Amino acid sequence: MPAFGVDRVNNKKLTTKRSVVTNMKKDNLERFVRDNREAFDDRELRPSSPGNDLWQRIESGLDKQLEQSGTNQIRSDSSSPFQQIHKNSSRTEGLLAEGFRPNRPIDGWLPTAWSGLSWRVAASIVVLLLAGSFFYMNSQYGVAHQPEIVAADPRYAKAVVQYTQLIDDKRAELKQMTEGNPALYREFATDLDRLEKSYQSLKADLPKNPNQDVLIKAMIQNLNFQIELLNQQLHVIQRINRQTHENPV
Amino acid sequence: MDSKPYPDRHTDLVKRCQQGERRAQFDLYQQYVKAMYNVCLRIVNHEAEAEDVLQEAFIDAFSHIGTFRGQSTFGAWLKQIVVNRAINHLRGRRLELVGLESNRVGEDDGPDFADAEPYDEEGIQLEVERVQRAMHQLPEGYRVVLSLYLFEGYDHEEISNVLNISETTSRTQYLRGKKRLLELLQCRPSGSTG
Repeated sequence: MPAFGVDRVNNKKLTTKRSVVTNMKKDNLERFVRDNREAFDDRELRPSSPGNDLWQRIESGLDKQLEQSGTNQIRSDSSSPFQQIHKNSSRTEGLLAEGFRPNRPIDGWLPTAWSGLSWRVAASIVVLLLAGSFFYMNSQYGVAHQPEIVAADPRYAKAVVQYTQLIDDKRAELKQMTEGNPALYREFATDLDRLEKSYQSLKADLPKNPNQDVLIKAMIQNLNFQIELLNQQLHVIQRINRQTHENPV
Repeated sequence: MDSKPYPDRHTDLVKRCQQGERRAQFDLYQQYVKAMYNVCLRIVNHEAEAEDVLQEAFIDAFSHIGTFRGQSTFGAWLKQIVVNRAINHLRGRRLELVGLESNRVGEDDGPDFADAEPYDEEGIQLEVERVQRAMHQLPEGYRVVLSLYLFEGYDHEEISNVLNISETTSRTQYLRGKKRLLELLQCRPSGSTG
């Protein structure tokens, strides 16, 4: 045993570089670990199960996964037991033959599985792109939300969409903040609903109104009012919440 | 084989793994088993269980290697998987992180004032093996936080994410764990398990 004081050396552990750090200042431990980080990774896998053993478990796990994704698509036929046998034997002999393994049967169906997969991936990408472009167009021009306005004057459609979105967000926020105070929320909501009702009546008039420009401007102004009202309501709630927070009675 | 001046020297191997090449998987495995085993062992604190976790982690990594985009090194990516797996494993076996959240003051961490005080690290002979042994003796919550912070280079924000605890908890746990570790290092291991 090394002359190292009372230290008992565990024979399983490798004798590492024994760096003895005597007195330094505060973050001694951190520095010590940092400086000797490599030495800390000295533990080997248990000798009873040498590295290869663990690899075999990993490999068979991977095989099983491939098999599952494979059987789902192509490998429901009768040839699979045959392939199974081949696969197993190649696995057991596999590791000692360090690496170079020509033509494993597994390679035969693997690309097919992949190409099937990549088709699915491609299809879903197309779907995503379509959906994405729809949402983009929608947010730009608000086709789905404001068809009347888009029809009347696409220049305003975007503003209307943005405002209504803002209003929705703020309303959600308001609702959340007044959770503990439903009475207050109801009061706020009736004020808002009044404005909203006049907005809806303006909107209903839109198709038959000859002077659409003026009407749309009125609608946007209404939306502006709503936002302003919401801002003030939120402000009030914040003040109330802060007060109850500071001196909870 | 071919080592190239890539930021990650395993780029080639990774690419081949992404094509499902078993040989490349084995090569990467060999490159990283030992380091990852040590990471795992520090967290799990049990050799056989560490191997099980490692097995799952490698299978996970290889079957999801398609999602590896090279934003970090492969090693860092793999380590993330290993750490997450290890922590999940601890969770499954009733991780004592529960006791970590409820700060049971003074139950096993001695006098509480020490949190704010500078540690008396002076005179302690820090030495790899003894640190390892002391880590082994630490309560689980301390051990996990310590090994993530001290050894794996996680910061407290990252730890709080992985362990689902607050950053403050991570910090205090770290300080307490460290204090405990230093205490363990101070008392001579005269009759410890040998």
